[in-house]
Amino acid sequence: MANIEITDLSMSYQKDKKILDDLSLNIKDGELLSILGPSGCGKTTMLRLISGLIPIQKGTIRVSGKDISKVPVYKRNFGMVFQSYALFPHMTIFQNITFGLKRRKLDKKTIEKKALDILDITGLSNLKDRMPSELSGGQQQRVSLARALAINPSVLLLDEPLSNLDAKLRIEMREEIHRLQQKLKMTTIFVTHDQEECFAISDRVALMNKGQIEQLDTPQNIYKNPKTEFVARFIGYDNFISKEWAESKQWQFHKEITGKLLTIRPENIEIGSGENNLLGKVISKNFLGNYYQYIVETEIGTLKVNTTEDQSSTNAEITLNFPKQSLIELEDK
Amino acid sequence: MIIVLLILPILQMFLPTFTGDQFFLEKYLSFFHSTGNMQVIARTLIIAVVTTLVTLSLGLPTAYWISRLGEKWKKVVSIIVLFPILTNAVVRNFAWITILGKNGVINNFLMQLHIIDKPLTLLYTNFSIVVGSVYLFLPIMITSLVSSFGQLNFEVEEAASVIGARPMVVFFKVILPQLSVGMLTGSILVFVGSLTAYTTPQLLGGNKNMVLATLLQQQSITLGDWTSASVVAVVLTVIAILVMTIMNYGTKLLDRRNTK
Amino acid sequence: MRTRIKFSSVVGFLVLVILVVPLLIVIVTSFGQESAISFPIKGFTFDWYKNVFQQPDFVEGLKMSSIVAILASFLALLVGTPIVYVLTRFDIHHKDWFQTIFLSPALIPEIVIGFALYQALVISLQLPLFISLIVGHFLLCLPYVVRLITAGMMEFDESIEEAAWMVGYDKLTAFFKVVIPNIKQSVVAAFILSFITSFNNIPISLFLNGPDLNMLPTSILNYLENNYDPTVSAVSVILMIITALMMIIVEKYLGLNKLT
Ligand SMILES: Nc1ncnc2c1ncn2[C@@H]1O[C@H](COP(=O)(O)OP(=O)(O)O)[C@@H](O)[C@H]1O
Ligand SMILES: [Mg+2]
Repeated sequence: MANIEITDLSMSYQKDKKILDDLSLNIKDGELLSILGPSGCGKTTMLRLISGLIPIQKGTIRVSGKDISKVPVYKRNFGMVFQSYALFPHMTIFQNITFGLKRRKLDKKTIEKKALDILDITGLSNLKDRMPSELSGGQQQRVSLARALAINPSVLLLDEPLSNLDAKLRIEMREEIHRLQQKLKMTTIFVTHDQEECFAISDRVALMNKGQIEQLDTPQNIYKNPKTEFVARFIGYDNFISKEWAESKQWQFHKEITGKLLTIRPENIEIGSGENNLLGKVISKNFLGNYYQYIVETEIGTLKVNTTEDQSSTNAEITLNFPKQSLIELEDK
Repeated sequence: MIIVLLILPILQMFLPTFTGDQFFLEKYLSFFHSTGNMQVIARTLIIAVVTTLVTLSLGLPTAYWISRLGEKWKKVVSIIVLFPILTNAVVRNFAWITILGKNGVINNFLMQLHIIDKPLTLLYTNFSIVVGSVYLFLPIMITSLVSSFGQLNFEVEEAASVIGARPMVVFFKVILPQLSVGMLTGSILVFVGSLTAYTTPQLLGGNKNMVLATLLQQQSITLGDWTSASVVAVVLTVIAILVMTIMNYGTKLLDRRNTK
Repeated sequence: MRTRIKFSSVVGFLVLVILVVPLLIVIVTSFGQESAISFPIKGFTFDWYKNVFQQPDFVEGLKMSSIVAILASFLALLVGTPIVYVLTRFDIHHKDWFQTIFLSPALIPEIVIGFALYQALVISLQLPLFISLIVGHFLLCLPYVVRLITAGMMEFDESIEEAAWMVGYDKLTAFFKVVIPNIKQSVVAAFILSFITSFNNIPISLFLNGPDLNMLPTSILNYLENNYDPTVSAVSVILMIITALMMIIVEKYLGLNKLT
């Protein structure tokens, strides 16, 4: 298996417009690391640089300690799952999967056995003689995954593999990917712009913005302790409070604050008075299934407050409490 | 490879025409000084213009009709239109010799009805060249119009008629503007095609009614005057490319206006 | 609205009749017994078809035209497909420029191509006529190939090719094993269209033929200059049958809309 070290990777398609900007990132052997970020931030570009589909302009990528910049794409032995699945339309499912194996010096029996194994663990055995056009999106995605795994790659790369599936299938497939990854212990990079999908299956998450990694950590830590405003906003911290203002109101913190900005999740703000109070007026109330969301106008702007119980109504004047252990400090940028 | 095979030969053809004892355009000046040659140029252009206009005015209603046919009939009609395009030009022109000739279908018919007693001279005239060219290029015009009718937004038309616009008004004010790009594309193909066509004027025009393409053939193969032939070739090429460039530019302008 | 639909139906139908009737007349005249073409015909005979096969120029011409059309189309594909691949897949400076060059033979009037090649290849370089003829027809076919293959490549998802690289195929092998099978339809369509275009061409062959090198269309043209008998009708019918066969094959395997 393999670990990946990316050092100072930069890339631009046109002059003066850096898509990746001195990006460094280490992926441990056997881990599932997600690259999470808004569309256009350079996720695909980074994956394509790792895969060798585009040449490295600046920086190095080492796999198991070896610089791969000179290794052509077809010799890297990486598996890739494309957003569009990219199955070979003129081959059956079985041929799609054996296509890569045929390139390796294996006898016919071994190829067949390997292919059947892969078909088996991906649950595709009964579809093996179909053509790709005869499969549903979810099935095509499975084939795409099976094809990538068939060559026994040292690294598995997935570029938004679930974005073309409907919501239910998406959950099913991400579990499938997770299960296979755990089973095969394969170093995996999973690119997505969907936070839930990525948190559900990743060992670690690299949050990416404008060609740089903003934060690299476990899903739990990123969720609990976003480091920057960008990360906080991206994962749903909708309320921001300046430290200066909070101090002027004699708010209490659970530790000393050095940054300039604080944030809190909508569900952590309480209605009613407590240690850190702020007055506001409910300007709208929405029932969102498992919680109520209040949009509250206050002297520091419009805030979002989520509660599980129905606690107020539109136009009501309310007091909000910001429990000190829920206030998270952000780094200055 | 293209450069070696095409550009160089073309250059080799161009260059000798720009030499002269006194002046590098000498050969062109004398070419343009001859009334015979000017007549040929004029005839070439007029035939191309008339052919384009006739194919356009016949093609428009036809394409409109085809685009409103049901799937099955549309297919049948498309095959009927495509067949002549893929059939040799000699065959198609020959057909008109049998129709327009002295003992051709039309003259026979009119004589039998005693409408005329001497055969009309229909063949080997400018008229017969135009007829042949129209016949040659009409399917091409129809095909390119049909494809632009395919993209036509018929809802606009219906909307216009719902608010009470008269049919002819709808056609000229609503449909035609949407079709202008298709009309121009078709016109480029037909205009340049008939401008440079050789077979039709050769077969249907005879020796008197020369156009640039037949003049080129006559100067070179028949008379062996290669330099004069080169001048004709250059003139023909320049006119063709000029027309294409201007009309392409027009199409682009229209395209931009339509997508705005 | 109704008046317009009626008007366009009448015109459209008439246009179809005009497109078909001349060809029908040719077919009918090919069976007439009189040695001058007449319509309506007197008697019925297949003799003119026999006569077609007794004309060495026609028989040799048919062979030569087929050979040249096949070779030229094949060459155009062989050269055109990699060119299109490179143009669509790689970031090349001045891409438009290259595109224009490869489509340029379509900008130059065919008769000028024939003339220029004759001067450059046959006279200056003393190349054999046959080679020059192939070159000319190759240039004729190339734009069709470039256009159709480009359309095919545009429809082909680039990641499918990348997927082949990822599982271990170098670019060349992947091109043959994955790209070509997936643009096969465009390749076949390009071949057939090239074949038809080359087979039907007159202006280029006009300059590049000789005593032992007869192309069918120019042979018919020559025959028509000295004779006017139903042999021409008969050979026309044979050409029409070839066209029809082509159309049937295309329709069966590709769908005719691939050609336009
Ligand atoms: N082939 C290309 N040429 C030029 N610009 C590109 C190309 N591919 C991507 N880009 C640009 O690079 C940026 C990052 O793209 P990408 O890596 O695809 O982002 P993501 O996958 O995160 O959505 C985008 O602004 C995109 O427009
Ligand atoms: Mg992407």
